[in-house]
Amino acid sequence: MLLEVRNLSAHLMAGHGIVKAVDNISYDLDEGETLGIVGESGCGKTVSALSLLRLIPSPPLVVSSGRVLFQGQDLLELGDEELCSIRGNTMAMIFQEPMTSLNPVLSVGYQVMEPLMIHRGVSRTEAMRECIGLLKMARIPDAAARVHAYPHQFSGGMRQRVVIAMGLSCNPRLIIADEPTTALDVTIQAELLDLMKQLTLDHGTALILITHNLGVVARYADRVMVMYAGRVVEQARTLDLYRTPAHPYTRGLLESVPRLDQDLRQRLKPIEGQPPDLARLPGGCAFHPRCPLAMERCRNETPQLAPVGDAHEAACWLGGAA
Amino acid sequence: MRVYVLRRVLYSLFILFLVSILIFALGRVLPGDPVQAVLAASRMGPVDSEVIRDLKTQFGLDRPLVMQYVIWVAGFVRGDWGVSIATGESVRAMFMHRLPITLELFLGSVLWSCIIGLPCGIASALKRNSWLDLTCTTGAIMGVSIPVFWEGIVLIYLFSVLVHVFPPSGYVPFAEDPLGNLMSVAMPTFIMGTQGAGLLSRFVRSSLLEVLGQDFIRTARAKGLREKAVILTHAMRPAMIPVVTITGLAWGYVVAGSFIVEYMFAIPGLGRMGVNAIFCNDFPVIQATLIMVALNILAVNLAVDLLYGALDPRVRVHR
Repeated sequence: MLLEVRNLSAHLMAGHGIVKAVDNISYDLDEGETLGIVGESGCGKTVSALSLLRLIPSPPLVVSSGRVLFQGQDLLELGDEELCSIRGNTMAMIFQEPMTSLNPVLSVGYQVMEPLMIHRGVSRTEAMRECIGLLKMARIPDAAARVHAYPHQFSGGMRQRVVIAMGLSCNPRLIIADEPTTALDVTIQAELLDLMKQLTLDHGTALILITHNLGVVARYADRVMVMYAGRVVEQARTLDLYRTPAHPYTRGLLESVPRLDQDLRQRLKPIEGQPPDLARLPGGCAFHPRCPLAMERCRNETPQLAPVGDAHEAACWLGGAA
Repeated sequence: MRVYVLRRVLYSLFILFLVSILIFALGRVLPGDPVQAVLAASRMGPVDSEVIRDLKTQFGLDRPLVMQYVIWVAGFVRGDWGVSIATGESVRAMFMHRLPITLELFLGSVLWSCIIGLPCGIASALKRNSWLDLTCTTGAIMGVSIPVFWEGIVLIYLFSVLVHVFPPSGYVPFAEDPLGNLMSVAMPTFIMGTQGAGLLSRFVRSSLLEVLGQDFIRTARAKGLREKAVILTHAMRPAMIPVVTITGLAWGYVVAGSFIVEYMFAIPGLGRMGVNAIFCNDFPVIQATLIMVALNILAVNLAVDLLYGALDPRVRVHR
């Protein structure tokens, strides 16, 4: 097992109170596997990923608890030095905003070379050679000349390629991609996701793909985890999740996305209501105010994840019967 | 880049032109006639209008104003800055003689501004809302708001009267006595640099804080950079871009401070020369001083604009 997350919780300072942005989530990830984490904005998917590498500054982070075993080491227990030697080396991140996640005053080449120089201690010339290779691998045309260019001279798609090259530079075992293509044109999105998937397949890299886009998950993830209000409400193999969604929230998400095989006259069904304010979560199941199938029990008792099928779990009192 | 530089230079020259007109006009509108001043200084007693007319011709004051301006500017550019009405010395010689002293004061005060302002600003950004931040912020606000003359009086009282550390006034040339020279300029430059230090500290703090909140800082951390490297290689350079502008503005404080400080500490520099010239209505000296002040501030701000290009690649390419 490459990554075992057990009972991870993260409390953040928000406004005047402290909210539980991530509430007791657990999951496993194998070498080379792709896990999709899906949910609306504010459901805790980004926080859950950032807290793996302890990248949330405090404040707003107040406390995070649980265990994050990566290659047998508990990342939450590590000292700063040891953590730095994992970040960008064996576990890398690809961020969502290609416009702002690159430093505007440093050349693109330098930023890609940096992880190589820190983690592998290679010389500048050697790093430069590898960097050109990486940019070529990310299909940046004329890579040898463009290493000296600055981020503002690149288009959004090209910048995201740079970010991908940077993430892959030390050949990590796990890449966490947080909405890697959200800010880009649809045509470029598919191209970049294909590229990322191909590169992770080539290197046997595991991937955590955080997105609100169910289409992306269906195409690239082996397994999917659906999050709502800081909790995991359902997890399953991708096909199972799409064929037999067990949680009313998952079903709502699937029905609110247009499908090509759908009758054109049929209207999309949005999920009624707003995602809850994490500071004022409703009692019982957090989804019950929006759930069409809510019962009395849902208002008072919080359902835990329970098996509803083969490697398929849902946190709903209706179980798979819904 | 070449177009950018050229445009900045032309812009500066235009400002200089406007300033020269203002300075010229100022001299003609101010009450007090230089000829009368000369006569008063020479203690000749009452003189007839003949002598006054001769003097006016001698100084060129009988020509039309536009001609006076053109003659003045042309002479200035050629290096003929006129003759002091009060002393009869060549203004340029007077200027060149005092320039090194004032330059030393300028450099010294900028040095003070930087060695106090930069670390304070960085420290308060990195330890936000700590007692250190509070101390630095309070100090910075005091530094900006304390008037130069008041600070001068207090420091002279503290370090020259109560405790005899620094001389209360006077200037020792570096060539004569290097240590004495440093002792004699330490206090004046500190006073001139105080406002700059406060300004710098405030701006470094806010600018660095803003940069530290940027996404690319998180990227740098995610790459495995140690915190020190994150701040030095990724945060400092972008944070310095707005700070550099402030340095240009702070320079104005330094120049203004030099007039007061040189007078207070009896330092024979340009500031003191300018103040004396104003007291005796010494037109050529006033004009030369003001022009050089304007030129100086424009040059510094031009340098700042060019430094931008070095710090920010976006400026380098676009303009």
